[in-house]
Amino acid sequence: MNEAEAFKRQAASDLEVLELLLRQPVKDVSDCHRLHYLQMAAEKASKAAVKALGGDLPKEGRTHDVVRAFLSALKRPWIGEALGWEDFRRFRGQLKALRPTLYAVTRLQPSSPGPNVEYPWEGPTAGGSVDWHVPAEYSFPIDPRSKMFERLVGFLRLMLDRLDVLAQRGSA
Amino acid sequence: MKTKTAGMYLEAARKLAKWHAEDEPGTQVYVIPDPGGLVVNLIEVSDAFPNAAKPWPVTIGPTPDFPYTSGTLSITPTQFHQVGTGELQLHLPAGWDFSRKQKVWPE
Repeated sequence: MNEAEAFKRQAASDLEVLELLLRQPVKDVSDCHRLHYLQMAAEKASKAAVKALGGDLPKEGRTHDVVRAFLSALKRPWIGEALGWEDFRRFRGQLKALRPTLYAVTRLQPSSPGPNVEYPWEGPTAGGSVDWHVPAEYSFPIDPRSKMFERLVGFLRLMLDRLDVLAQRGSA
Repeated sequence: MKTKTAGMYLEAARKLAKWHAEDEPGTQVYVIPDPGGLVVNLIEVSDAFPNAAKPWPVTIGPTPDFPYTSGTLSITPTQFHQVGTGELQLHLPAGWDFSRKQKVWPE
């Protein structure tokens, strides 16, 4: 198995768990877990795509940067076609539309200051004081029931499904 | 196989920059020419990008419509300015020497 395939399988597994979580009633599962699984799936799916396209992954500690820059790197007409878009402008429009949600999710890392989906953090409250916040009880600005969240999950799934096509770029 | 020339290389860099930035008003794109003419490294500068603490380029290989490996580094105008003044060190891989950059978008 090559690295792209390994990242693809793990990303697909993360997406399956995310889809399980999305089917659970909102009151039963905190959104931090849905956001966390999207974050992990996006990171691994991005890496799978970069490797399938013959690219290099950054050294340790720079993993989030792959997710941030990879939407730009995908902007080639052939990649759009490989993913099912005959019209390059529409493909580019889709990448642009997904960007705010993807950036917002990747920003919720424990390494970033402020809210994150994994660990409690100390920060300002609505009342102006400073207190500890718990991810499982926090109201994040990204709604996992939103259309854009659904579109991002769908795009990641599509990318994984067509990874073999992306990998055949040399023989296309 | 057709031999790639310096002119073809720059033309390819402009084409890739257009693909990347045509629908992104306000985005500026620079190429850092590869002396070997094999890799097209683009610096994309836009307020639409997050102010990442440690920006890093994403590379992908040639595709049927683009016969070069390309690297894409997405940074904000503030970061771009700070690299220019020496306030910010990005610690990028070899080949990302900002002093050799050439603007390729807008044309």
